[in-house]
Parts: sequence; structure tokens; C-alpha cells
Amino acid sequence: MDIVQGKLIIGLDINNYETEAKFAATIYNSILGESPTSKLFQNVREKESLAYSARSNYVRQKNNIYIRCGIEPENYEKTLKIIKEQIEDMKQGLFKEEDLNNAKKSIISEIKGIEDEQNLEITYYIYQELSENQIKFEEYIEKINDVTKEQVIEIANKIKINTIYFLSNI
Amino acid sequence: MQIIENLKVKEKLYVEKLENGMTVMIIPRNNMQKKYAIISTKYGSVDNEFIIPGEKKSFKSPSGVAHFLEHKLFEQENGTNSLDVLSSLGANANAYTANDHTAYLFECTDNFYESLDELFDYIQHPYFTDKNIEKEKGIIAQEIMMYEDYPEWVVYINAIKNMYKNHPIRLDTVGTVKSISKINKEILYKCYNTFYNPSNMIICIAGDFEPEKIIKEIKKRIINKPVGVDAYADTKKETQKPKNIEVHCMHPQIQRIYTEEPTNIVKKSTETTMQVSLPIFIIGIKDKIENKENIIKRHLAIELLLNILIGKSSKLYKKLYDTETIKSELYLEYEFSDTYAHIMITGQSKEPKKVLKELEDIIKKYKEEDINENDFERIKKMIYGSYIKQYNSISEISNMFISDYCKGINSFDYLENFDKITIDFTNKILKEVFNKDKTTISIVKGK
Repeated sequence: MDIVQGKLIIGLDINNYETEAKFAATIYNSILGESPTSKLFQNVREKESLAYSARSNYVRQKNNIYIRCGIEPENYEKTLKIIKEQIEDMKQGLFKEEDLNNAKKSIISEIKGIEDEQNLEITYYIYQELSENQIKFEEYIEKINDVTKEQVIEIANKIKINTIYFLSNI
Repeated sequence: MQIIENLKVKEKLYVEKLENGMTVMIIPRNNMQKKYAIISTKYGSVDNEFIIPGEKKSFKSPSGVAHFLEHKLFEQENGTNSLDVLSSLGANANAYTANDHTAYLFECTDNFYESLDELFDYIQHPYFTDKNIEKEKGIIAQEIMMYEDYPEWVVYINAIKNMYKNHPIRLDTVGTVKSISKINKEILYKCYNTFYNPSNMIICIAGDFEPEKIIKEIKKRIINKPVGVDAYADTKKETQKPKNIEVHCMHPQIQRIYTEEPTNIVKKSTETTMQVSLPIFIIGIKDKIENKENIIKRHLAIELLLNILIGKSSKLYKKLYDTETIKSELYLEYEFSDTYAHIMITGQSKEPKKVLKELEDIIKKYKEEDINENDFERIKKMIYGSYIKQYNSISEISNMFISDYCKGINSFDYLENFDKITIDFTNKILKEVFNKDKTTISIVKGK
């Protein structure tokens, strides 16, 4: 396609459909690529200066995580290698207790703020209704707090790359 | 401390000017979990030429410096990055560069004062090295290329270039790969020391707070810097320091220089091809620069008119929708500062020029017959509602107060001015602003 920047998208499957596993998956995603302290942001952007945006998002309803970044087309191999290393590191448990706590703090802060805005609150409840899994804010926070490093490693080992898609002008 | 109360939304704004010149705005909101802080400098992507107080000659910087500084300020001398620190405190932090200001913000539920420490720390302690500047050039180059691939950005910047001959709003906010390659340590420190002077800055805090306490907390975090002309000493070389200070003003103004901009537009239309499935377009109408007293009324009347003419409840919208000329709502906006003003109507259509023709026809009709009173009252209520809704979220309130402040506006005045907008005034603005010779169209279509 006639574009300047190459767009790399990697789709991951989470092969665990238990409701309880979703809390660990939320934390896994935060450590991998959601926050500025995440592995993707730190390694792809800050260390290697390969991208402006390098992040992942978790689609709970579909049990998928999508990694996306915009790069120089010639840096495709290099970037892909670094991303795969991050996924592998997660499996090996190569992340700090601090990363786990940071992820928890940011997720909990987000949950606490939901009640402040009606549109966020109403959206929260409709999703709860749709997933047939009513859980209150306090309980949600508790579940996030209870996730252990072992549980994150366990979910990491159930995550597999489904698709690697690269859009570029080559 | 000055207290401004608005009875319509039952909100209070506390304003205080600190000794060092920084303006503090506080919006207390009881029983809220979220807390929000945003600090801003009146320095945006259009401020590329200026005279530093105490100097005679102007300084010209490459485009993209304001945005480059926004990226670099997060980096600290001890090797940490403030974005990481804030995120490990559980705060959601970010920054942005607009045409006329740059802002740094965070939202949190816990650790507010620790986060405020970090915010004041990184804003007041720049740390630029040749190495960290080079690293950032790679990241920003990717950001530039990301924008180049956005048809929405290309259609926008082309519309701007159709309207403006000289104004730096024509330049990319983030600069170009070539312009950022010229950025170095000296330029960054010079621009930082000029514009990140407290007298050019403002902070807005919203949440469950006692205003008096917040003021004390802010004062604790401010580092002592010289005031007046001395404040700009860091921007000059040793030998150029002024010996006799002629300016006695406490907080001298930075003089920004813009080449004079003609009132006429540059081009009637532009067409570019990119990878889009349905053409996207922007209809732009260049406006004159209104003075501070009248700008809010003008802004509101233009918003009303845009919605009456082509908003989602208008007859024209229905016609365009029914004939499948457009498929979704158009985005209607009046964008302005002290030095530029224009209307922008953004949308997608298989026939953008037909949309323009239909719009021009309806403008002509309303100019002859005047606008309908029912439409006027209905749209007025709708827009009033959208202004009230902004007060739902502490981040939206704060962002609104900051960006209006940088334009010299107090956001509450929008609510107060609604009653003053008459149908006669709105008809007058229609005739004055919506002119064919000030109208341009920018189109991005598929191959």
C-alpha cells in the first residue's frame, strides 16, 4: 500500500477461557504493552528508538491481545525480534515484582475513577450484563490485587501468536 | 485569591497569581475519586519567532521545537523518565502540544501529592544531552511519518494551507524530519528558558480539594528562579547579559512575531490522492481576528449557524443523507487564537464538491430570508447542553479552562453569553462570515 510508515500488527490468542484468568490477562497486557513502563514501550521505543507508538491492547470479549507499532519498513525484522523477545520474557517470568505492582496500581486507579463519570459507569454495567458476570467495583479491585506473579506467568504460557501482519510500501 | 462563581453550573473557580507570575486555577469538586492536574506554557507550534525580554533582535527557531520539548522534558538527570515514575504511582500521565500552548497533565485517584512532586520536578528541571536529543529524533521521525499516513491530517493541513499564506499554523505541529534534524541542545535550552518561565505558565487542578491548601502545596514545589528580565539571563551568552536593565516590569512579555497574514484565502480547492475508500474533505472558511470582548459571542453564533445550516437536525443534512451524498455526521468547528480564525466542516462524501455547492446554496438562501426562529431556539438549547455536559468530567473542565485561558478567555463566560445571542446578531454574523470568496475545500480521495 502507498504509505510512508510500516504498520506492524501482531494478534495473540489467549488459550484460557476461565473467567478468573481474565484478571491475570489484564495485568499481563498492562506489563507487556499498555503503560509507559511496559516492555514494548521501553524496549521498542525508548531503548531502540524504532517507533513512536508501540503498545498492546486486550480485547476481553474475544480473548485476544493486539500488539501494534508504526516503524520504518526496513526495521521490520529487528522490531519483530524484539517483540518476540518480550513475549518470551513474559513466559519465563522475566519481569519485576515492581512491574506487577505498577500494573495493579494503574488498573485499580482506573476502576476507582469509573464512578465519577456517568458514561463510564453505565458502560461498565452494560458490559457486566453482557458477560453474565456481575461483579462490583470493590470485588474487581480485590481480584486484581490478588493476582500473583505465578498466575501472570501461567497465562503468559497460554498465549500464542496467531497472526503477524505487516503493512508497508514494499 | 479571586473566587469566580457560576450559578448556572453551580461551580466555583479559584484563581491566584503567584509572586513568580504563575497563574493557579482550582476547581473544587467534592466527593470525587479522581484528581486532575494540568500545567501549561503559552508556547505552541506557531511560536517559532520571538524576542526574548531584554533583547533587541528576534530569534528564529526551526519548526517543531515546542513539541520536541514536550517529549524531552520527561527525561530526568538521574536517568529516570517521569512518565514511568508517574505511571508507577498509579497516575495516568500525558502531554500534548497545541498551536498556542503545550500542556503536561495527570489524572489519579491515589498518590496525588507524590504525582504533583514529579510533575513540578520534571517541568522545572530540563535535562538535554546530545545523546538523548539524537534518540528522540528517531522517535519523532516515526511520529511525523505516522501523521503523513493519516488522510485526516493531510486533508486538514491542506485546508489550512489553502487559507493561510504566511501564518505558521501552516507548519506541521511536530515539525518535519528536516526541521527537527536542526534541533540541538542550545536551541532547546533557549526556548525552554524563554517560555517555561513561571510568568508564562498556568496550572489548573480539579478534584476534592481545599483551594487554600493546594496553593500552599504548589508554593512548596516551586523552585526559586530570578524574576523580571533576569529570568531570561539563561537564554543569553555570558557576554550578552544586559548591564543596564531598562525594563522594570516584574514580568516582561515575550514578543511573538508572525508575518502579516492577508485576509484573503490562498486557494479555492486542493485535491490529493491517498489510500481512502471514500473521499474525505474539509470545507474551510477564513475569518477575521475578533477582539477579546466579542470573540465568545462570535464563536457561539458561528457554532449555532453551522448547526442550523448543516448540523445533523438540519434539512440540508437530511437531503444529503437521503441521497447518500454523505453517510455520517459532519464535524463542525470554529478554530481560533489571537492570530488566526477559521471555520472547518469535516466529512466523508463520494461527491465533496456537491456538498460544498449545496452548502453555498443554503447560505445564500438564509442570507436572503434570515434564519428560522424555531431552528435558532432549538439549536441554542442543544449547544447550551453540550457546554453544560463538559462540566461532567474534571479532566474536561480543566482542559477547557486551560485552553481558553491561553486565548485570554474565562470558560464560564461562554455560559453567561448564551442569553446575549439574539437572532439578529446571528443573522448579522451569517452575512459577515459565511462568504464564498473566503471559502475553500480540501479533498483527499482514493486512487
